[in-house]
Amino acid sequence: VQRHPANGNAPTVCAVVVTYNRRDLLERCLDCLDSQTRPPDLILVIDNASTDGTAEALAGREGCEVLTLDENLGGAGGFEQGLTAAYERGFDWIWLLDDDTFAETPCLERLLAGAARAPRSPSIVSSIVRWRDGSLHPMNRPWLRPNLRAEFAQGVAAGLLLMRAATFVSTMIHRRAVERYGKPHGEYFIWIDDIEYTARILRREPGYIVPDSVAVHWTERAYDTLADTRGRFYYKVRNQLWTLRGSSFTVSERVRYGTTLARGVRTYLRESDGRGEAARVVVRGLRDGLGKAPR
Amino acid sequence: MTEVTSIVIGSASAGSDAMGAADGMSIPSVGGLRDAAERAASELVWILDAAAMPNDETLPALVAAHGGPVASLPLGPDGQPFECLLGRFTDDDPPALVHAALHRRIPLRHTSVVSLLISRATVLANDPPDPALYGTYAGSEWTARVFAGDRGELVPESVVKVSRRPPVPSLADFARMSRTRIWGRGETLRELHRSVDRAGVLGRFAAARGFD
Repeated sequence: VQRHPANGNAPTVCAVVVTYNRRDLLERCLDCLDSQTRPPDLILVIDNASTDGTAEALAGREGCEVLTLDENLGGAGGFEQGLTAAYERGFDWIWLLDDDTFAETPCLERLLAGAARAPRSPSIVSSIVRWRDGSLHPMNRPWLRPNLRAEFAQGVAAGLLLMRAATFVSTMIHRRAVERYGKPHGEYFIWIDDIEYTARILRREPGYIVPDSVAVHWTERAYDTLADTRGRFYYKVRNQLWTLRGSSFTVSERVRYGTTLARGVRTYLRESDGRGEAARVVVRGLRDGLGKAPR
Repeated sequence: MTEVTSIVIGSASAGSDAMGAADGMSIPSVGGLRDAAERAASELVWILDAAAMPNDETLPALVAAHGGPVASLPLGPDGQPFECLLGRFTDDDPPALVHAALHRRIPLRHTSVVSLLISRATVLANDPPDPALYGTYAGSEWTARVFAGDRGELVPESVVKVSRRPPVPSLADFARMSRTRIWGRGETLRELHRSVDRAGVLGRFAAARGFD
């Protein structure tokens, strides 16, 4: 396994960054990774066939490897490819980041410290994700597990928050979890792939948010999957249905998650400008979500 | 250390011998809390169940964390947290949970009164717990009222060992408590299950089928 010379025999970490046509954001994301107090042992950039000069910018950059895909597989496909490559190269932890994620300098060091002091050896650890103004980013709000009160309290005693799911915005997956639970589904293309995958693992394994490890999700607005109306709601409907049909959630969680999906659809239909088009998006998502799901 | 009066609920035990508190008194049930607080000479009172066994760090950890009411983590004989005594966390406010976790605390909506450090003034400002009406839930009902005005927190660093299982609530206690609307729907169902399913049969059945 490739090791950064500064890290000695510590657990190895491969940072996986997925990018598509956001060269400037990517460069800033990589600058943040370069300035970590505990550097990752490898930075692996998955370029989703960008056409904005990303390849040229990366060619001149030291300290990272690039895996260029033949076509844009979306964030989900990119993370599936990146996680597979990092796993096959033997890294202990695989640190997943979007290209608009700016990890604060002690982010990785604190994630690893959190994993080391956790009451149960975690399969996933995740940072707190904030927006530009310091508030929690609505897209990446912590999905906690306070219903397991005893275990939650033990986590807080160690300065950690027991979680149920996470997004791929500064989240680390242990290779043991990849062995047991496989990879994320690239077929999701965008959105919910991270929730499906981390919830699949954390249904039976412990995972923690490390509240002093912070990453900034540098989106223009503090939107969530409902407020983002760039024609991507189709993926939300389809992928949530796929997730509901999968193994990520318990029965009672499915009821709650299904209710959330129904509320989301209602809000989307109510607040969309072109209701006819919005209805077609929802119907297409429902149809495909009830069709063949990735396994 | 800050001056603290301990108030032990139930018959006093070896573990409740004032543990570093300046002064101590004992009362038969939580219903007498307000009268006891009136007699206390200090600003802070430490309310301790007689079945709770604190250690040397229990009170100092509470005092260090005190900004409002703060509760210890109750542990069973196996050293694991006693879930039914923990109360409910304020889980509908993620930013507050994150902020509190940075200080290794958990905001509480309500909790059983096992080991609670609270200002005397706060005890006096609220109507006392009513064990005649709420039975085993009297402490939870009282802390729900108190924490609504003065946020309570669980301090997991401060632990007490609880030597006996808490009594199973009766259906009548459950019915009266559920009318207070302190519980959410899930919590109401869980407590109904607890008061009905004394042998734990339904719980094992549900867990086997993926309900939580």
